[in-house]
Amino acid sequence: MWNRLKEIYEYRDMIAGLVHRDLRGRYKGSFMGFLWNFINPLCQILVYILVFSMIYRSNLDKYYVFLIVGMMPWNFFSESIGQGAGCVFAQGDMVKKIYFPREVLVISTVTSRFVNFLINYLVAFAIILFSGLGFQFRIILMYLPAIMILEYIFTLGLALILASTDVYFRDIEYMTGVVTMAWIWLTPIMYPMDLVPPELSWIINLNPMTPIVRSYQNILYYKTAPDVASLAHVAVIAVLFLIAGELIFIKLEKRFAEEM
Amino acid sequence: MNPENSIEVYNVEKTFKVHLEASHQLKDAVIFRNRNKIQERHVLKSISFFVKKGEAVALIGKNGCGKSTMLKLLTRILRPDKGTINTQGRISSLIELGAGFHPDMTGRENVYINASIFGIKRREVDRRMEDIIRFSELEEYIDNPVRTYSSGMYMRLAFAVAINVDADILLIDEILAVGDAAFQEKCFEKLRSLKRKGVTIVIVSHAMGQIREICDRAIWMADGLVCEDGPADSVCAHYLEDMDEHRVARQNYEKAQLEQRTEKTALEKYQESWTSPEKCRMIHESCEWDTRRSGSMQVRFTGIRLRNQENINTLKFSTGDSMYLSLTYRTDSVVLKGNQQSENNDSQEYDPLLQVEFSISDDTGLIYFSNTKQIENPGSSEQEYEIGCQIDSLPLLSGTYYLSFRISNAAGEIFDSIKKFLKIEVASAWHPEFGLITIPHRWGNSVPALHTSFSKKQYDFLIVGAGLYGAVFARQAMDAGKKCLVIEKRDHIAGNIFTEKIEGIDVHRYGAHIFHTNNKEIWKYVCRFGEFNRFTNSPLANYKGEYYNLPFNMNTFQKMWGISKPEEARKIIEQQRLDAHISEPKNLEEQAISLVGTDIYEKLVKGYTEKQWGRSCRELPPFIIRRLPVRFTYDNNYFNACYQGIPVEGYTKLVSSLLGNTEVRLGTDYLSDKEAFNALADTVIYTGPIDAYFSYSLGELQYRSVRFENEILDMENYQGNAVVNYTDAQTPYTRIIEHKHFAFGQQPKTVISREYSSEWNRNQEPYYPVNDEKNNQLYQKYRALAASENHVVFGGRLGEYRYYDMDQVIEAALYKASVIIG
Repeated sequence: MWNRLKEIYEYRDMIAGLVHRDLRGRYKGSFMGFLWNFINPLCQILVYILVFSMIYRSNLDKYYVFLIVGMMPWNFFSESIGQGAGCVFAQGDMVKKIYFPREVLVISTVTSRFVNFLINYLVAFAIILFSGLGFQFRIILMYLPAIMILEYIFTLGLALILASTDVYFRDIEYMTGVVTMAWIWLTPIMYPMDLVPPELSWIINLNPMTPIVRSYQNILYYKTAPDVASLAHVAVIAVLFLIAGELIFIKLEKRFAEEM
Repeated sequence: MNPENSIEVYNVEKTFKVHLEASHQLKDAVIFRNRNKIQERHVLKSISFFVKKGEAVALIGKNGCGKSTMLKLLTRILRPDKGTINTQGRISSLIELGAGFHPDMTGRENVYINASIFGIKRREVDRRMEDIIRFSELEEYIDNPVRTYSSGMYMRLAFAVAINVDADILLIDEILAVGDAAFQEKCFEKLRSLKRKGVTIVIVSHAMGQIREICDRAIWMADGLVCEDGPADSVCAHYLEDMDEHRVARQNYEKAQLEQRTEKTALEKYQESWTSPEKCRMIHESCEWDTRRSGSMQVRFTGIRLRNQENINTLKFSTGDSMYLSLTYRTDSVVLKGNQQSENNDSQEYDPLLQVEFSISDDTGLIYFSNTKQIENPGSSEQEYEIGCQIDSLPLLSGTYYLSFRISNAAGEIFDSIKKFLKIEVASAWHPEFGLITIPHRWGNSVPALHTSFSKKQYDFLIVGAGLYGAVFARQAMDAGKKCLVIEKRDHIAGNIFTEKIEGIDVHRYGAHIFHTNNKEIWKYVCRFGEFNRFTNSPLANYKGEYYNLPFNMNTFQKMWGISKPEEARKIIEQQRLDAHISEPKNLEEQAISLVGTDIYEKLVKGYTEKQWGRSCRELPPFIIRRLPVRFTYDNNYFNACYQGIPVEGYTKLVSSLLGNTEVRLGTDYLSDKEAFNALADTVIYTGPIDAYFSYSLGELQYRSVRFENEILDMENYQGNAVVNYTDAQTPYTRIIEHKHFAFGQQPKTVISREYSSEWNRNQEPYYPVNDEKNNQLYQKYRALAASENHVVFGGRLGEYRYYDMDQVIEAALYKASVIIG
């Protein structure tokens, strides 16, 4: 296992290269190019702001901030597992012809989404600034990086599982999309947690993404420290997922070249 | 793992499960679990080999034998089902080029990505970027998006990255076939240098040539096992043989398939039965197993024997050996009868001749030697015939050659053709030669070179003699742009047709020359250089004061006998001829009388001829006068020529025009310093006496000479005619020429020349060659000598020892000039 991790570390340049290729190449040739990375979420935010401040009033003050703060981490997560699930299969050519630790593909997909997420979060900061909500810098600095890393670890673990199984069963990729669609509603992004009736709150709490999203909301919307207990709970789940993900991946990776 | 090895493969096994219904769906796996049809392909059954550090190994085998699979196992793209693979060192594999290239990114950016896939750090790539770009020769395009590259450029870049990886083990799968020849060579050079650095190389390839270039060792895989593992040359050879056997087996199989489908007549089946290898072996027991025999088999070979000079049956020879070939053949009555049944009358008439052919070729079919012999058709007899062919000395150098044989008829119908039937080996142990054949030759010794033949001489032609021949040649050469030098022994040009003005009259110093010709071209040519008058030569004969017209015509006869009609003259001459009773003329007198009768002979021929020759006509041989022209018309025109005349301004002026501004040196004797003069020009045209050229080494050629006595008379007209012959014996001179009449001159004075025949010696002017047998033979000997004078051309009256009329000499000179100059 250690050798494997060392090997992956050796290939960090490849990861960087692939991330670079993904971010720049994705929109290469288009007029806006790299800017498209922002335009999507920006438009989404704008629509939300318009709809939820003018049409659908929520009792939450500056609801759009609440929404944005939770939506962006979710986008990172859903895009990562969505693309991650198919990323090994999509690069089948490389897998069949060149040797490199296949995790690199998943890692680079998730990482590039992460970079995207980080940049988009700058937009979120700008929105918060303009909204007049203000920041709690101490809390932000203490907890935000940690929660981001935690989310990254969890996402990566899940992506590894999905990517490796997708090689054998192509449905996984599509199923992921369907599940994600439902999953977003099981996470308190659009609604605050206290609106959930107690009978259903156990499902919401079972969702590993819930404490993560709630932490974001705490840090940036409520400007309070997140719940440490639930954070610790998340951390354990994330690490478990990562280890499980890597082990499953290693096991399934042996026959990648044949299956594709 | 042994530290000396970089790759160790133990009992590796790999099976592929091929899903016949390719479905990668969850539902299929769960629900239709048992229905999935899987075909197992046991690609590798048990493969083991080691590769030492720095070795270059090739994996060869037919398609589908598992070479690429083995390579992928080594690369860790696939994992073996059983067995282990150990490797030491960094592995770089080139199984596909350009994997990972993003079309919209530039070449440079893609290099970084591709290099990182190979596991090279970014800093490392920075260091090597220059090398990579230089290797790929894409300096101009490296910053363009890869999407704009041609496939060749794509490949170059990918290979440049791959080859610059610092790997300890390099695995290459059949990608070396791509790329133009220059780039391939570059890649090979790089591989060789990597090999020298100690990189282990494993190549999968079908190009045996490439393999032999780089690899020391080859592993031949077949049926999932290692078939052979050894030196590249021998393993490749065995593999190729095996391939060939399979190909032939496959061909036979296909042929059998085809035969099953097509119905053949019994005759065709019979004919084909003879083409089988067993039947071929009956002809020669060591024939090639893949020999091809075909033909209608009407006449077929029954045996072929090849023997060497010791009369032993063999297929091994040495260069220079004798080879004896014997072919036995016979008609096949079965086929003959068969043919006669199926066709109508045509096959009943067969060619009386057959052609037997044998050829020697190399293994690609290139024919070195092939020859055909015509033999008699044995007809429908059952007898076996034999024909032999002997080669005294085999010129083939060492190598392997194939003999093919054929019998056909003259129309080209092939009866029995056996291609690449026998393989002979030729050894040439002692021949220090190289190539396909040996050619008998002898070397001389090395000697210092005699004269430089490369220096350009001053003149193209040196013309010795400014006579008519020389002048015409000079004119032709000049017109062709060649540079000539004319040298003349005398102190004037024009040779014997020289005329000088005396008292305003053009005097022919060397005797009367009247130009006459029937050749329009010559006349036109000569008129280019001077205007001619219409002088017509009508000489007179003076016999003891009686004047007769020449040539013998009605005017002559009228004066002589007083007759006026041609018939009368004819009768008199006829009568005189018969009265003489001469059947076989023994001398000139008898010859003349037998031609023209006594009167004409006595009065007009005898005296003149005896004065000319200086002896009695009875002592002269008859052939001097072959015929004496007699005309039964009143026509004094001596020459029967279409064109006749004398240049208005004289012959000297004519020759001068011919010479133009060619350099002429008078008073220069060529023979006095031949060497010096020869060095002046590439070619010498010599119009002097041929015997003098060779210093009379074989003897003297004989001539007749003439002497002139000129006299200037203080009167306008002396004899009223240009030429008067004195045909009586008493007058010492042969004729008198009055020169002004040639030009219808009106000058107050007149110049006459008396001609005397004289004995000739070397110091006299050679006028007329004595073309008797003795002199002619001597001339032929000189001619033979002349043939070996490479740069000298002999021409003209003296050079060719013959009498030439002026028009003839011009024609000869023009012809020679056209041959030499072109």
